[in-house]
Amino acid sequence: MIRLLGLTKTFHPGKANETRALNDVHLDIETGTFLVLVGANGSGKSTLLNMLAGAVFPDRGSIFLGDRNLTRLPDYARSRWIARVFQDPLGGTAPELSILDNFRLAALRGTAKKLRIGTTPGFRLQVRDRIAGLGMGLEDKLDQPMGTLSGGQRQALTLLMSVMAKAEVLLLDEPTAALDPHAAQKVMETARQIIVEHGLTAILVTHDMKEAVTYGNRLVQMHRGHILRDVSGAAKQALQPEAIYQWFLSDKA
Amino acid sequence: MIFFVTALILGLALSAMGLGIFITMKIFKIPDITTDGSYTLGATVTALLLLQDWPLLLILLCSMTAGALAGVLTGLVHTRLHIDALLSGILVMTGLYSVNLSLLGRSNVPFVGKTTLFQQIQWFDKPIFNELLLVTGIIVACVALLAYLLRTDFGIAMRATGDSPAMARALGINSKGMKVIGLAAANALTALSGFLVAQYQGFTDVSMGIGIVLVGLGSVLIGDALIQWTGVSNIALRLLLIVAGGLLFQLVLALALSLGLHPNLLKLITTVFILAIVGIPRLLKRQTA
Repeated sequence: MIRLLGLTKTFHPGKANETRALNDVHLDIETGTFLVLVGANGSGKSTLLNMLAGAVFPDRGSIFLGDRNLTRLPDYARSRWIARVFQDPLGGTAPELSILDNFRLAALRGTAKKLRIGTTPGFRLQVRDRIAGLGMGLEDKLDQPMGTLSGGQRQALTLLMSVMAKAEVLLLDEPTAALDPHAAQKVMETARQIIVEHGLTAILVTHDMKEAVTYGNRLVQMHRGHILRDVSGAAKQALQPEAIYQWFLSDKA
Repeated sequence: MIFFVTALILGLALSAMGLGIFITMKIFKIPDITTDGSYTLGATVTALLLLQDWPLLLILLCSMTAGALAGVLTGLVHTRLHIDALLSGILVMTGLYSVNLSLLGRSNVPFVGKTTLFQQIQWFDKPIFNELLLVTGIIVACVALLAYLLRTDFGIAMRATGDSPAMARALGINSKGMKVIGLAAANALTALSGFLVAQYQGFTDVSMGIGIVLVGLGSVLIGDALIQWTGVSNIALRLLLIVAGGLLFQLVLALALSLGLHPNLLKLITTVFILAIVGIPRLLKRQTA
């Protein structure tokens, strides 16, 4: 279970552009939950996700994953439990490295990278098998640099990479924002499948309301640094995109 | 003929530095110019220990360690104090000038009567071929070692650090530590060049490193052009092309000198040559665009 206790964060304190990004946020997320996080720009959802990843530290409050206190742990140290897919398809992969090398690093997420050749024929076969499962025909291009692939292909591979090493939490930061609708759907279906197969706790930040109602079993709306709505179970399943649009409109007023 | 073989030997001796600059510039995408200082530092340590008749292997290790420490210093200034990489390099390089001068005691130290690396084997009648063989062996060993290192899990992590910092951190790579290690390795290789060149020319001079970073940069730029042109992605081949770039660079300089260029103009020619390598493709690109 992920437990967020009183997370507070102010950017540029004492300056003209001071922003209270998070204001005393409490949130418990049960293991296996697929939580969708929505909110207007500046509502704090990205800050919250970055804080979970360890890229941003809270001014006050703490973050627990099970019994482990992650609050002060930097991102690279948290990576043992937390995998991350970025909005920018370029962010989650190394463009100059081959697909195989990218997967090798992903398989070592959160563990020591030793002075030995890890891209063995056995490893190559394992990666081939997994990539073949995507049905994108990429399994024959393992030595191709990642940068030569399309955004959708890279994002789908990033998702596969996220479960190359054992993970407990998957953070999806608008993973489809840069993709065309078809690629976006493919990526989201891959994500859903991976989350179920590996029993992950997932958090998806999205601006796409259709995506927000289609995926996940809990939906949290953030507004000005705190949690405004929290819907799960049957209520979440019954949500329509129009309803969320209405929330956004009424919050502005 | 002899003239060009000499250029070849010098080119090979300097290509260790080229490999170092390849690490910082192409793998980590950091502009590091600690080079001028760490090159002379390698030569300085070589001079001091050679005069005390230390075994060559130990001198090699000490020179490279000294260079690595200079790189660590630049790395720490850059990553811990968040000072721009270029400025960090300039600070360490400038400081090293005084360190080198103090260590040497005077500006020029010749190795008169000392047996240098280049007198170690006598397989050929002409000493110049022995020298060529020796330095080739050392550079081949460097390339082989580096190619292996960059293909290991650690090496892939190194390459990812420069290629995609966000991804590297998300995958549990301590990018700050990695940069420090990369700068250490690069400057150890640069010091190796100092070790080789000092013994080849038979003296260490405190100003021998001034502007030397451009020579390394030149070999990386030419080597990179060769890489783009041939389209190789194999890391060992890429490293070999960087070495080839360094050789080409020295041969062009040798050619310029043999055509009667005054040695005083050498640095200016170096600058113009690199400007041409960097500038001409851009001008061409602008015309086609």
